Amino acid sequence: MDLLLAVRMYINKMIDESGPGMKVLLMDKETISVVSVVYSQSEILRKEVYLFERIDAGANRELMKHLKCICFVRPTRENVEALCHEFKHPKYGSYYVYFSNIIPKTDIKQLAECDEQEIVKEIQEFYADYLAVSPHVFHLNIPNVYHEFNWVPETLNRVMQGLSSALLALKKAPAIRYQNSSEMAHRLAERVRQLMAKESALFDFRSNGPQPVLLILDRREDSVSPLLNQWTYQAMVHELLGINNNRVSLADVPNVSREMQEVVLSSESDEFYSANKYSNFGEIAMSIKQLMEEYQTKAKMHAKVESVTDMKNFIENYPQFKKISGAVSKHVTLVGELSRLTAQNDLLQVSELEQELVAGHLDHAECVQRMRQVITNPKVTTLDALRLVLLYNLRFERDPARDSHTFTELLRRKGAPDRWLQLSDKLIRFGGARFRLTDLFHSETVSANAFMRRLAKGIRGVENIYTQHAPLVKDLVDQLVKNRLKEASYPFLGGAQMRERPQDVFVFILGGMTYEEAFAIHELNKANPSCRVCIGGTTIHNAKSFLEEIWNSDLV
Amino acid sequence: MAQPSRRTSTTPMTSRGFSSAEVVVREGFICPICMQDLGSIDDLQDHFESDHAEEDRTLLQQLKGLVLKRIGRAESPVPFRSSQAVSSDDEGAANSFIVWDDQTLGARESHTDYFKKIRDSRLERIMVETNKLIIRLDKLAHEAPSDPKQRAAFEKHLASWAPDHDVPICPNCGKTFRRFMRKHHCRLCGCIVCSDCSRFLSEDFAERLTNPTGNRLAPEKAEPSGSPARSVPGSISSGSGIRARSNSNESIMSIVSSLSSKDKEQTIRTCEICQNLLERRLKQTEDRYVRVQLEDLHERLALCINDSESLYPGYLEMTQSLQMGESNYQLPQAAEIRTRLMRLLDEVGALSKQIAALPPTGNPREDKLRSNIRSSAVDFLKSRISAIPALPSAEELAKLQQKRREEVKQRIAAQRASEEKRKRDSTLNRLSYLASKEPAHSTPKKEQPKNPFDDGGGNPFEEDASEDELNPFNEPDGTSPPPRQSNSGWAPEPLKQTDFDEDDDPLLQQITRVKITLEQAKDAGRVDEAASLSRHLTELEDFYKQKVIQQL
Repeated sequence: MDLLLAVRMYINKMIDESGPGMKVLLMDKETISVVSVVYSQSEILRKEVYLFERIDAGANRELMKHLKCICFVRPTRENVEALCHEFKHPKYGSYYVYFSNIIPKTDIKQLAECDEQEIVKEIQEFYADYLAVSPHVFHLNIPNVYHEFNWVPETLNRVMQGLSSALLALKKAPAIRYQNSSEMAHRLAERVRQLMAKESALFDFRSNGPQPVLLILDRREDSVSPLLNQWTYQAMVHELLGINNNRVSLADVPNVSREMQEVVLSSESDEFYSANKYSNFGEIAMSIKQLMEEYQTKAKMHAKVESVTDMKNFIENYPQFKKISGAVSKHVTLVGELSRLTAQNDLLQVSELEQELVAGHLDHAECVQRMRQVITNPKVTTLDALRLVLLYNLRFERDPARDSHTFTELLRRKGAPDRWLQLSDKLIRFGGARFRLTDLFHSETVSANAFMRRLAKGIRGVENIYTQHAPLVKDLVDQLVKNRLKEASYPFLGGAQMRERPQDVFVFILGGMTYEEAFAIHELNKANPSCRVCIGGTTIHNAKSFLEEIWNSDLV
Repeated sequence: MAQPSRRTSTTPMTSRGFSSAEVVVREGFICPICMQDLGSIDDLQDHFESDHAEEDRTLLQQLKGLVLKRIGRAESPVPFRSSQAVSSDDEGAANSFIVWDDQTLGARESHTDYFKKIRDSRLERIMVETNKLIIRLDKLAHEAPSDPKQRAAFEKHLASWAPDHDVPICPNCGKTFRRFMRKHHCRLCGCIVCSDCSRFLSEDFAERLTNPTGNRLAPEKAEPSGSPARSVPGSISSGSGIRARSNSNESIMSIVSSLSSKDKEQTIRTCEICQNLLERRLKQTEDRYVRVQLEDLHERLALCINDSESLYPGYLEMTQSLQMGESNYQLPQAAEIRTRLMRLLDEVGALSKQIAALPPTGNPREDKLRSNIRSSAVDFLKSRISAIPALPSAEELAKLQQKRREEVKQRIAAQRASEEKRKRDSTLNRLSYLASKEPAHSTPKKEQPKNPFDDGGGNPFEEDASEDELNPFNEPDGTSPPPRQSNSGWAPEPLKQTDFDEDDDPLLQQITRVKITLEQAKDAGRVDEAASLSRHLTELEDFYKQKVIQQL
């Protein structure tokens, strides 16, 4: 169940099928991202794929008959039209066409009628229609899925395609559970099941062991996770700088060198990142120090090249050295920027309060007092102040003492735009108690389970006040793999029954997931070697993109 | 303990230049019993055999199966993964990897057959039509009488011209035929079009269609063979932009110019439909014959890279073995491979440079293509050249070998000491019995080590101890470590005691052992070992026969 490997295997297969010779990879806007998150350019160049072209740039591409064309595109109408045109006026010698999802037979027929020069050698479906961020994490890069808290048909279709392609890539035909309170989750579940029924031959994967489970959740159930400041490396970078298709823009960082304006963070090609993406901020500082030291000893060694032996050592270690030096400058810049922002924005103070708000330890009066203090701190950014206000409103939504007006006023004085001031009410509509099934804050009725957990936590003591919060998904999946998830709240579609504990689990969060959740699932996987959980979302949110999602959710 | 075809060094010393392949699989070496992460196959095996020796042996076999599978997964389907080494002591590394089962290619669905069925049924019609036109064209070009009247009759007959009165308007542009708008017949299909809609095919065009492979290339202007642009017959409508670049465009130009030329005898009037069909065919046939220089260069480049890649692991093996002071390989032999390897890499550099230096084409993508080929080759060279370890010089080698001999001697001495001790302890040991009872046997046996692949006994010339100590098979109580993977990458499976009848003559037992080992060696494809084993076997058998005769 490695989503990332699955995409790489598909791409390898495409390249292998076209045989030796110079190749060009023809993609569309979306498949370019699919490929680029799992493959680096130099890696793919080594496989004789020397050019990368966009299918929608047809007019600008030149005639190069000596190239084989591997065409990997989504099965959209525009792409089919573009391919028809391409086949009538071929620019390359031969074509190996792979659609990233199921394509109607009529489209194949139309394409076949355009291939008058018999240049098409292969035409297949390879279901790599999702962005594989980690072996167990995928997303579809579709922000703003809510439209008056419902689906727009095209979006629903696209999300269904992306989700089902992940199932196909891993060859799983799961039982489907969904969040009962969400009509959108239900509709998506229904569509996936329809597809599985329609393409039953395709989804016919014989496997022993219990049937896999797909759990479809709605972001509205847990609005807390995307609002919190994060302290694990990957999540932190996304929160503070933003990761877009494995790329992080550092253009705003003061005094950044030109080649560091944009860096790539890929688990595939960056060892340091792959090893440390789930480490917390303190651990990263240590790892960076180690990396620096390793680099410095190497650099020192290289500084004196006197004898032949030195020379030999230098040559032998050079590639490694170069790799390290690249990694060093990248991660030192990144971590430096993160700690600069942490200090500049007083993030530790903000985060501590966020966590305590969410953990439900403080009563209302304490919260108000602490929040005043933090929000009026000039170092705290308006965005961070807004997070606090939003969390406060969620936390004390039903509390008669809730005073959102004062904080709105404070935000206004801090210079928050009008749009932001409306977000409190919007958030209550989006993810307020009226919609939610679960008690996010353990404040009202305390279930026996949750109570025990809190007790246990109390005994163990809180290890790190900045990372107390565990996202709701972790709880739900934990219950799911123990077969204890309530059927009333998360029913099986079509009344399927599950007697065994599931081993393979897909969780999909419509409305977007977070890196905190990716980390939580990673921890779960590590702790239970017997079960394998993949998590996906329509996108991966940080606070900014999540606020955007909320803003658009009830727009007509 | 066979690990067929995979070489794994047992000494940490050797893993230096070679670490990536091993390090990457570390994630998977978790002891199934105590869940401890052991970091490498060898460590895991050692750990397992020392700490869990009492557990079922079959479990060990299973474990090995798993380990081999992991290696297979890490290497075969995704070779690039082996390039990411993970530092072993780093907690974070273990942190971010979760070992999941083998993964096969995801689901796929092929539409190729359906696509081809539809395409081919459609193309068949076009093909038949085009072929008909070409046959007529051939006749028009080569068999038509030169006399104009006879020629007209010939043309009319060939394509069965449509009767004039049936066609009041031009079927192409819809204009009504009038007095000053003459009707023209397509000489190929016989249909009627107006003068604006009719086209002319030049002789050259006809020639190229009717005689695609043949000598027509000769009279054409010889294009410089390195011309990067392909011959592309542009369509008539296409403008002057590409005119200058290829010779076939010139031929199109000759068609265009012939439209205005008075000398219409030289051309064949036709309609647009026929012309399109013919041009399509011409394009297809020409594409098939043109090959640009870049392709040749790239093919050679790919060949060199492949060759060097196939030489590289063998060379690495040699240098490691030499660095260890072993004498499995000869220095000059290794030096020769090194030279070959270097020459191939030089060639890669030269070829890629040549590709980058091809004359510019004016096509930015073509230039990008070349520069990408070059940079990819440079990347490859960088990673390879520095990864080719140097060979020890003759003196260094002698020193290394000396050192190794001493090490081996020490190990043998240590082993012998422990053996002595054990002998004293056990009063009736079959093997000591054999050794003392028939000391004469050691003379012929000494020349052939029982287990030439074993670490300690790899070199027959270094052996001065009797086989008993060296051959781990001869440890009936299994106290000494089982054979480990040797540096030659292959070791026979441990023999099961059940293979032997305890009451057999020790010599017979030995013969059986050697036979089994020989089978394994053959299976594992170790030719050298197998040869020496079989030599050994014949000698043993001869010896046994003699002994039987003597006893009789």
